[in-house]
Amino acid sequence: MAYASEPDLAPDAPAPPVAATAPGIHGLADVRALAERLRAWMRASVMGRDDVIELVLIAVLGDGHVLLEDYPGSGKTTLANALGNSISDDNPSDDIPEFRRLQFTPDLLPSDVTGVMIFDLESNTFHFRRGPVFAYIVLVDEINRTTPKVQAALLEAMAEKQVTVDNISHKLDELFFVIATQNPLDAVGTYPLPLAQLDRFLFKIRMKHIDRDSELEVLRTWGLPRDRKTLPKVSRTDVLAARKILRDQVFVSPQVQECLVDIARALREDRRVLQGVSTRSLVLAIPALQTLAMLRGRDFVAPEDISRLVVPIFQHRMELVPGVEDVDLVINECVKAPLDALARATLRGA
Amino acid sequence: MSRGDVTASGPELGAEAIPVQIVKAIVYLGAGWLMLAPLATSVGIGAAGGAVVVGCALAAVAVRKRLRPRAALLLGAVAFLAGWLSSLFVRESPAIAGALGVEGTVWTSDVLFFGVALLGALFTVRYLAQRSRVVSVLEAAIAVFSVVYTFASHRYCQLNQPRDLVDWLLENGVSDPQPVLYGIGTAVMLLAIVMFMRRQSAWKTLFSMVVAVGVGVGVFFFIESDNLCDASKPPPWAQKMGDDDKEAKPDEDEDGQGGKGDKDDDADGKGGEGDQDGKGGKGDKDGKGGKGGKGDSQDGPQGGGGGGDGQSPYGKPPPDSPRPVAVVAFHDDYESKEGILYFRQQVQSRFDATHLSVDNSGKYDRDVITTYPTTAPVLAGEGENPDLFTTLPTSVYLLADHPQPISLAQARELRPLDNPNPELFVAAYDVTSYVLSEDPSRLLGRTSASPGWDAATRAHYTEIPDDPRYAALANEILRDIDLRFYDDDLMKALLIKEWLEKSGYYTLKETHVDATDPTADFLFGSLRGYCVHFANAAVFLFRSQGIASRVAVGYAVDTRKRSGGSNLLILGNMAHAWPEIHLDGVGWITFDVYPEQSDEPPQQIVDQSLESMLGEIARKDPTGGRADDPDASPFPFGLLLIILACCAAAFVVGLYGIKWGRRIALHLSGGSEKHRWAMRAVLDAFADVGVVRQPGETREAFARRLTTVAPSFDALTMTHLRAALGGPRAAAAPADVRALYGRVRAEYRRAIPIHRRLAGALNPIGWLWVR
Repeated sequence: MAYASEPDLAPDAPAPPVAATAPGIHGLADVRALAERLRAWMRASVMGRDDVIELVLIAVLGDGHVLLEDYPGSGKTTLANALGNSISDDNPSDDIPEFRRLQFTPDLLPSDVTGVMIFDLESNTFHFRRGPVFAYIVLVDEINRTTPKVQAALLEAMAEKQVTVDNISHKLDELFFVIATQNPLDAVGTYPLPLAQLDRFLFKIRMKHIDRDSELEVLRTWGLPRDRKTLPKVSRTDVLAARKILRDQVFVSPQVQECLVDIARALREDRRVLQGVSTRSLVLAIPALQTLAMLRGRDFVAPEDISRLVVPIFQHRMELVPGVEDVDLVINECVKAPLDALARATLRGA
Repeated sequence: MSRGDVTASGPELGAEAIPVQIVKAIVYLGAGWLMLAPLATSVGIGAAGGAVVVGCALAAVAVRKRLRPRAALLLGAVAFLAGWLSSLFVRESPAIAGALGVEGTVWTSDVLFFGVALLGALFTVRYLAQRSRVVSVLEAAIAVFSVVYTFASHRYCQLNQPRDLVDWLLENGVSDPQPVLYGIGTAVMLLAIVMFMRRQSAWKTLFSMVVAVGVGVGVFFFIESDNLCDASKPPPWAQKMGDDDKEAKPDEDEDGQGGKGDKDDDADGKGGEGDQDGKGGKGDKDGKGGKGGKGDSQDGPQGGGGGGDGQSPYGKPPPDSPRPVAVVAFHDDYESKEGILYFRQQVQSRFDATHLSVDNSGKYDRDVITTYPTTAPVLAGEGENPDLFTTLPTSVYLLADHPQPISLAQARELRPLDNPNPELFVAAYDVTSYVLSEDPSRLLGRTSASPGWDAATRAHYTEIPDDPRYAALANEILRDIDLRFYDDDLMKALLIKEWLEKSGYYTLKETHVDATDPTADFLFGSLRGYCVHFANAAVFLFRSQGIASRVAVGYAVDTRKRSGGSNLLILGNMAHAWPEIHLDGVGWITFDVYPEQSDEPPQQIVDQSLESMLGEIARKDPTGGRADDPDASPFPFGLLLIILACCAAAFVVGLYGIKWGRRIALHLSGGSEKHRWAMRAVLDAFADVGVVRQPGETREAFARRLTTVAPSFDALTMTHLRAALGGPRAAAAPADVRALYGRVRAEYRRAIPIHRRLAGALNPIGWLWVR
């Protein structure tokens, strides 16, 4: 599994090796401060979406990607933009921007996403020109509007953190993070993502309309100059260091792993589920759980983390039998017994 | 949302745990036994038992293999139909009956029906019960129904239901099995509720309990109103009783007969303390079902056969209550020619203006013994010609109070007998009876009245109402008599009997109680009536022809359907009245009328096991079945109760031991385990007052829920979780745990009122709910 071990990229990649001791990031407390900085950036731009912001934060630090299912004009781009702005490029030499936005349309070609080989007349050689996926934060709007071919190109990039053009692989940046969006209702002329591709997203977040006060606040502050300059930025190196610290220092006990596997098995065995969740989803879940534990001020993954993340992690990876629609209900029912077993296990001891 | 869909009804309705299934199978076995015991052969019951076990196992497999409900229903229906139809075929097909013989056919049919058909039905019910909550309520209803049905049948009159259990209790010296039955019924009800509804939410459990109790109560009252023994509402003839007083002659009240009926009513309820002739014992047996005011309609067997008839022979038809009233042990083999044995209690020979009644002058009917033998034998006066009769010794054990002793045929001598079980029998005595050994045809050619009779005696036995229609009818009947027997009293009586048998119609529905002369109303009216009418009509017709005759009252037992045995059980509904005629040189002989037309079902077959059981008690238990006979040691109920109480006490003590042990363990436990014991102790304390973690709720969420009660509980939970899940680096310092625990306890004491804490401390099973 690509995610089982620490990403160990070839040195030919533009990304510099992650400093084991990045300046300022030494322990979980530093990671937490960094997370709060990121959160502050996003909260300053987007009102009333604290739950979404937390999930995006978890995805960024947990090295996953998110799919937002939302209506137009609900702040997706603003959110992604804020995230992109919050990260400072402390490696200008790599020539990778912090943030790119891609609007997917049916006539898009894979090379529009990944990049293209062009012939350099001066050097008389082919030269790779990077596509928009070469960025730290990539916002992909309306991912289901483009053809499966383009979707596949993007999804390879997401899974492998590399793109292949003319049989040559090009590494993406280590901090490659995709926020994709799709409109849940406007399905005419779309190419719905198959389950295998949805599986690459850590979370699928269904956003609800924000509450009344938040909406009023949006109207009130719209157009006012924002005092973002005062917010401290987060460097790319810090984020990568934070990911490593999270992985190393937040403990995932065997009981928690058992609980996760039991949940996956229960979901697969449930009569209402046609296709259960993948092993990949469990692998992806571990960093996410570690990140949430850190956000909650813990250095170990607790049952509560599982209970909080199990729906956003699993809901888009399952296919239910016809007639059963409430995937949240199925998950919440299947999760009860393993969570109880975990609770009993803590009392029982080793 | 498709929550209501059976195919998507949540994972919690999966297969049940194996122990639960085993207990349910046992419950079904019990229910099957209770329901089938009176219906099926032992082979059938065995097959049903097998079907229960196999059906439960198959259903478990089907649930585990995720058989679709439609397929399960189809399989169950096919098995049921196959079993049912094939059992029908086996029973109806002459070829199979020929090949297997009668017994083999019955067995095969029983095995097919109770084995295969029940298997199908049970499989379906068990399968559905594990897939749908509604059917699990049905399961509970089946269990409750079977028990309540069986026990409800016991009430009032059925000593022998459920017979195996009650027999066993009686044999072991329990005089009144009712509390035991109630206990079992309650236990089954509770078991059903706990077993079958434990997987439901509180509201559904409440609903199901209401359903189960409703089913139980419904069955109870349904059976009562279903005329099982018609105890709830007095039948019409019983309601008329009050009006019958006008028929009673005042002089009969003087001699104590009139009061007899009332006394019997009382005896029924309070157990007949110290009856006449010291026959003693407790009369509880027969009256245990009667509730208060129902006694009136219930004491028929004694009152109807006894003193009550002294006032009015028409007031009561033979009561239809099949309550056992006596057991008769035969010392010699005897079979009556007609197949009916007559047990006489008293005779009515005196004519009182409208009807016959018991003669108390002492001058007549001296051949009938009317007193119990107390210390010395009681001998009957002269009556029968010993040459024509056979002597037959029997022993009678009365189960119900009777004012006069009952005895087979013409009793010559009654001797006192030790009551083998005063709890069960109200009286016991030996009887030496005369039974007619001569063929009646050889008795022809005799006159009825003896030459030695004086005029008063002749008049006493031939007095009839002042109504010319009797003689006219008798003459009409005897018009075509063979001239050779023109003067023969026996032949005349036979012809009259034959005419009554052909013309009369036996029914309990017409009582003729409103007529001034009920016999005339019957005889010259519809000719529809019961034994009392036939007996009186026959006697009046006989007497109109000068034949000395009287009405005997007692019990008639049809032995044609008995399969043998030396014990005979007399039931209350066998009460009967029949004519007796006197023949010179012979004596009084039974001369019953058997109406050819009847709307009554044939007499019910006596439960043989009860018959032999009571007979065995009567014969083998001469000391009364009490503890002074070491061989017949009764079941040690007192000891059993003490053992049970000790077990229960030990159980409760054990529960408290575990409860307090868990708290003490906190103080004894080592450093690395302390957080667990602290957590357990706090969770125990909350569980004691009814606060428990919900299924699927995390410990953190539970702690947050209790923040208002015990704010430090959250910290304790976190410490515990960190120690448990935080890996090798994380460990809770015992001192911190102790301090946190102390804080939580203090907050708990502050937040929970003292009475709830006290109740919690006394709750022995609170720790069982800790999740």
